[in-house]
Amino acid sequence: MNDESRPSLRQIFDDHARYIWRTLRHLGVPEADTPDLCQEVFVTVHRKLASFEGRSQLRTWLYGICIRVASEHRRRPHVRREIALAEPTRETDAEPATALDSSLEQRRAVERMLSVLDEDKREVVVLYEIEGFSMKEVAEILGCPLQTAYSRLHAARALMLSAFNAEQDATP
Amino acid sequence: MSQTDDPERLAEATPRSPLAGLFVSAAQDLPSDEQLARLAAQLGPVLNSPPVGPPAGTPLMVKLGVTAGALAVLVGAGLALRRPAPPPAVAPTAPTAPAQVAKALPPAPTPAAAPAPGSAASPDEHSPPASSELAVPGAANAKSSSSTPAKAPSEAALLEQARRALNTAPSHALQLANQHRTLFPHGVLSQEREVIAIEALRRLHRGSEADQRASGFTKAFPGSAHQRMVDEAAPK
Repeated sequence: MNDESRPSLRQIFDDHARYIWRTLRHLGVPEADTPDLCQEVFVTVHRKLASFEGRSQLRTWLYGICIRVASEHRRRPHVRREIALAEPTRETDAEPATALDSSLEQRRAVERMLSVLDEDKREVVVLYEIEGFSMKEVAEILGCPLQTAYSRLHAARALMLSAFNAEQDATP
Repeated sequence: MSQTDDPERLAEATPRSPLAGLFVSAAQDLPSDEQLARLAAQLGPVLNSPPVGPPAGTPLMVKLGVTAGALAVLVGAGLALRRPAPPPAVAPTAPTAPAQVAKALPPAPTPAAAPAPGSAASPDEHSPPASSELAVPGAANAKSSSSTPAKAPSEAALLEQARRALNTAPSHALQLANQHRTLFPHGVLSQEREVIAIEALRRLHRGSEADQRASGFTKAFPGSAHQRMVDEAAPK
């Protein structure tokens, strides 16, 4: 990719920042850390953009960076402890009072659903089910064989469905 | 971008999956315009600067110049986003990933090997994490030098000085790079510091130290955009 065809960091930010943010959240990055991690993604992009050769699509390259930043963040010791301590909350309130509450409850339900997955499966689910990549692209971003990505997706779906059903059964 | 042999996404599947609603909701969970605007403002100088790392074949000093040009904007943005330092005298903070990176790098030369006049702080293995250092660049310095003025050089300023000294006084450049390592062991510009230090060592004909530091760089920052510069500065 030559300098003329390479988008500027500003363009990349405008086109992708909101989705990078969303991806980081769904990969389990705490809300308070999301701006910092988002910044880390874009600083990394800034550092590496000149060496991006266009062999992969810009979007898959960008999400590859995003996945690595989130993964490294999760491995930081203090984050590991926080994750272990922060059990996903289960709402016991009868009815959400407002639209805001409802939205918050939906967000928590998504988090509970994703939290039953290990990191590998969660990445596949986020990239395929939420971010809309093809499975081939998912495998490329994660650097795993396509068949492995399929296996992770199927296993993840079964786990999520099982957790969802268990939650429904437990609801009075 | 779905392919024909990909399974139906749960949000669109028929019959409707019980999980469909959650995935529809997840896709709508985007940051607010205010959150994005804040992020853009904090990244502002970086967003409008040219990418780091010119193409291969560019002289090393030019590359370093380009890199250093980005230093100020990177640091400016980096510092802006870091949260304030935690109050002092709390329980020790767990090491962060950059701390592991710092450990992977070879140790900085001792003060005896590379005396740093004006460098007040001594290497501190238990330095606070990056966020607090970056929020208060002078904190580490102030801790060990009560007689020194409180104002300490910023990450970018220190490295810019080091870069400028490379041509005329590589030993001073190395001192400044090592001073940066002491003051900002987990700084956002650690990669750029190492590039300068390796080049300075090479100019001082301290080849084995340059090689050692270059190996540490490769280990600590695999896939770095600066690897080519490091290889050129410390040829095997």
